[in-house]
Amino acid sequence: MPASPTVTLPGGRVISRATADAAADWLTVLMSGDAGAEEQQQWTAWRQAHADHEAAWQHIEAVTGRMKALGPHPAYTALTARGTREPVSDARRRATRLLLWGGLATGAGLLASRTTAWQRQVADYRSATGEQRQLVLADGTQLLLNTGSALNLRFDATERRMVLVAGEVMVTTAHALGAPADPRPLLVETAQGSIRALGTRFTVRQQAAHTEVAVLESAVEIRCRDGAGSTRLLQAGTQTRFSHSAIDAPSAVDAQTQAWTRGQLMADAQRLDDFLAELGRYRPGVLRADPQVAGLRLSGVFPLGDTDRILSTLPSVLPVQVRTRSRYWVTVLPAEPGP
Amino acid sequence: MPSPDLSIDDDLSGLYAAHSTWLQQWLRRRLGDSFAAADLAQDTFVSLLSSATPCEAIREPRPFLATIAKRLVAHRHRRQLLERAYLEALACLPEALAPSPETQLIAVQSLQEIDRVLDGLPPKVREAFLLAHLAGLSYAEIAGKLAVSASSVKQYLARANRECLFAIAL
Repeated sequence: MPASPTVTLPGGRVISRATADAAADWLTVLMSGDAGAEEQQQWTAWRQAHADHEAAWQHIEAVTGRMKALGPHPAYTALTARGTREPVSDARRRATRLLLWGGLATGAGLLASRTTAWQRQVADYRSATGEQRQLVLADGTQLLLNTGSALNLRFDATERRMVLVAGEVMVTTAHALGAPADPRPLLVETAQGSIRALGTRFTVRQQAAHTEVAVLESAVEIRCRDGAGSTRLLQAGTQTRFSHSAIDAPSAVDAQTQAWTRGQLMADAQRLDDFLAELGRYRPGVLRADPQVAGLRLSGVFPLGDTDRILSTLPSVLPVQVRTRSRYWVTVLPAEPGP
Repeated sequence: MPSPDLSIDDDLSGLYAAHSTWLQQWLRRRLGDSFAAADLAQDTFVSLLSSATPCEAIREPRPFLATIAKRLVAHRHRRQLLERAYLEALACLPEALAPSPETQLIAVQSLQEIDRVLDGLPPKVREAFLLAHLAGLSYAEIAGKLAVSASSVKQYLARANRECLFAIAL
């Protein structure tokens, strides 16, 4: 793209492109550290030769000063982070490639999480952070998507397949609601395998390296992605987790893992850092516990609708204070010693 | 006789009336967030208004609108990644060094602006610019990090400085 022959400075002054380029080149030379006394004199002379030169140079000083003032570490880290620097088309190409090589990519945490971010972005159904979405599909199946979740539908003549790309979903089949049965099997696929509904209500959560399933009504059949023999029938009232090759022994459904379907967050003598990690799923930004208070335990039932309020009640149940630097950055610290 | 501007506006409002609801639903399906969908639908028409495309030249409005909207969704995604990366990097700092919320907000906007002007530069040119201006490294240090010669670093910076320092609004 040819550069336009003039440049307008923020104050409104119009200078020539040649002057702007010359000023930029002076910066490149001076920052190199090998400009001697002679070059410094030439630079001073150049600035004094024309008011535009000086204006261009002042602009450069202002811009570079502001960049430096951003503070080296966080600003540099953010801009150099791979996820933010690629043009979207490259990211898409790479994501597609990673999808094809999905099995290999899961070992590399960073790449895998970038892929997930992309898959989440393009999924058929998504819920935002802090949002729960209720959906009714064409076959009458009801879905409740929990916070930050993404799901693709792959319905065809032989099966009704849903792919849980991220997050958590509660599935209530039309059959469980009393409608005539659709003959096609209903499946939820995760990174580790698939769950086949047997006329039922159940929840599925995609964790970093495993899938959690809890059955509330009837039963489901779990099938791991690898290992032909790894299938298990999971009955109502039980829950389990599975990896791509093995299924844990089932245990009784605990109220805590199902509380979200009622819009609640439940803690039963839970460590504060675990509690905050769970709460953090429902709000954007950084939420962390100071190591000194991470091991404190709390119990309670909290409404998920207002996460700020949950945070503000913490000091009344634990010896902590909540420091809010912004809505997006909250730290829970030990309480100040009393007077 | 109506002025040409007026007729463009008329076409645009026709386009808006016919497709804005559809566009909003389409965006909502993608984003799962009706507020963001409404915002981006609005932005799509604004960007159509400020582009030079005459409305009557658009044969298939929906694919056309969807193309603009997809680009805006990608921009939004990128902005969110940037903001999150910055907040995460901040969270690693000792608390005493942390900037105030107002400063953070301004910083995030500045980072977006830097990201915008650097878009399209080759990765090493971009990296050299960031290392020099944000991290404050010398050319020799940058050369070491990028595994290139110091004279290459100088070339990278010559290009990045020319292309970016006067395009940036900080």
